[in-house]
Amino acid sequence: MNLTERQLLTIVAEAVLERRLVDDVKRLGAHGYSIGHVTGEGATGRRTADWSGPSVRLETVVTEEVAEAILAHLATDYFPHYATVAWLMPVSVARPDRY
Amino acid sequence: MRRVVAPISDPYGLFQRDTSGVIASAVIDNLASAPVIAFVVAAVATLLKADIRLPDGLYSILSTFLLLAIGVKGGKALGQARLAEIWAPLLAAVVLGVVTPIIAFLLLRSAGRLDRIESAALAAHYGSVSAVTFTMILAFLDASGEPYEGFLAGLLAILEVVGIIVALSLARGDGQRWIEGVSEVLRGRSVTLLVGGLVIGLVVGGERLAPTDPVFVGLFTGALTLFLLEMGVVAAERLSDVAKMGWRIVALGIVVPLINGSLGAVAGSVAGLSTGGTAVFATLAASASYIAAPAAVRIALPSASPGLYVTASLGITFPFNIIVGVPIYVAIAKAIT
Repeated sequence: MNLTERQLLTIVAEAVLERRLVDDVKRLGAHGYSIGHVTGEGATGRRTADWSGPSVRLETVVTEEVAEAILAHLATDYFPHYATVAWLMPVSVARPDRY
Repeated sequence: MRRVVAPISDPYGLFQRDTSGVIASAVIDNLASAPVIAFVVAAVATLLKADIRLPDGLYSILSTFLLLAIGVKGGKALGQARLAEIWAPLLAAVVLGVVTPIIAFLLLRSAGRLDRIESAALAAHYGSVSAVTFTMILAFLDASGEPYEGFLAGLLAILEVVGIIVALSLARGDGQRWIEGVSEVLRGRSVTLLVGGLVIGLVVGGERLAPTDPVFVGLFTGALTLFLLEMGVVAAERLSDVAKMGWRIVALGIVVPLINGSLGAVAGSVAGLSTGGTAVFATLAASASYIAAPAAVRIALPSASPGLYVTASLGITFPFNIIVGVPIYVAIAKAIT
């Protein structure tokens, strides 16, 4: 099968940021996303289902340019203020025009 | 000493002319009500490291139900109220929504020695209201057989929003996201569900709502008790943070609601509310938000510490209000109406 390389961008952030994160990711060029709610532990402490609910994990498959634009935005608007982590993984997809 | 004999409909004696000595017993009786004791049991269990936490997801279901039920009940009463009896409390709610966060802000800046952003962040919580504390005063009044104006749930929605907007304005100018914060409040679950419930209650109205009573009325206290169980866990988990906050903030977490509650009682009384309604108004003014305000502040003032504002609201003011505050606000209302 003919596969094309894209980037899987995963972002884990405070629950309160969900709406804003979705708006930003779409605005910066992502065509779609999946969201899950997770709990765990990280550099800023244990994130449990507290007053704002469990953390949000957003996954989106995008081109490298879009991934970099989103990461650059996270670096200026999210990382300094909020408990947020993000990582990239190369993935192979069919129907590359969807991403 | 003259003995105060309370009728069956007023077990706490708070609505008798002589209120001396009854606040303490009212606090004890309040402690023995199902939601409050659930809160205490859950808090103690959590401190003893016992697992009493409700299953994931139930907290959201319960808060959704409670907000909708409060709205429906308030909307129904709003439909039956005349404009002449609503306008003055409405105006008083807006004034309180502006004044209470300013008082909190000034106290936190001066006595609390917090910077402008942290003070505004906390003031947003004290300017806004807690729907659960609101339901606790209603439960207390229902148990006392004391009537109150049902449309006050409508004012809850107003107070929830105005206080946050005013407090965020106090911090404005430091490059934070004021509009996003306000938008978060207006579009947040808390206000949307409350207003949604108000619309349902208002449009459907009295008799046609009767088939929903087994859910929205019958299950209410049970759901509130379960919710308070979860709140006890969350509040107790914050207790270690309370110890780190310093005595000034802990003291202000009690003083601010007492001042705002007294102001609320005066405002309610001037607006022509009944004794029960004035007590509700006082409790609203005294209560601190822990759902709408933290979300809005986290967005609008990212540099403010959630450890400070959520802990003050949830770990100090909320337990104080539901255990000790409510009987005090009722006594104040009784004294001035």
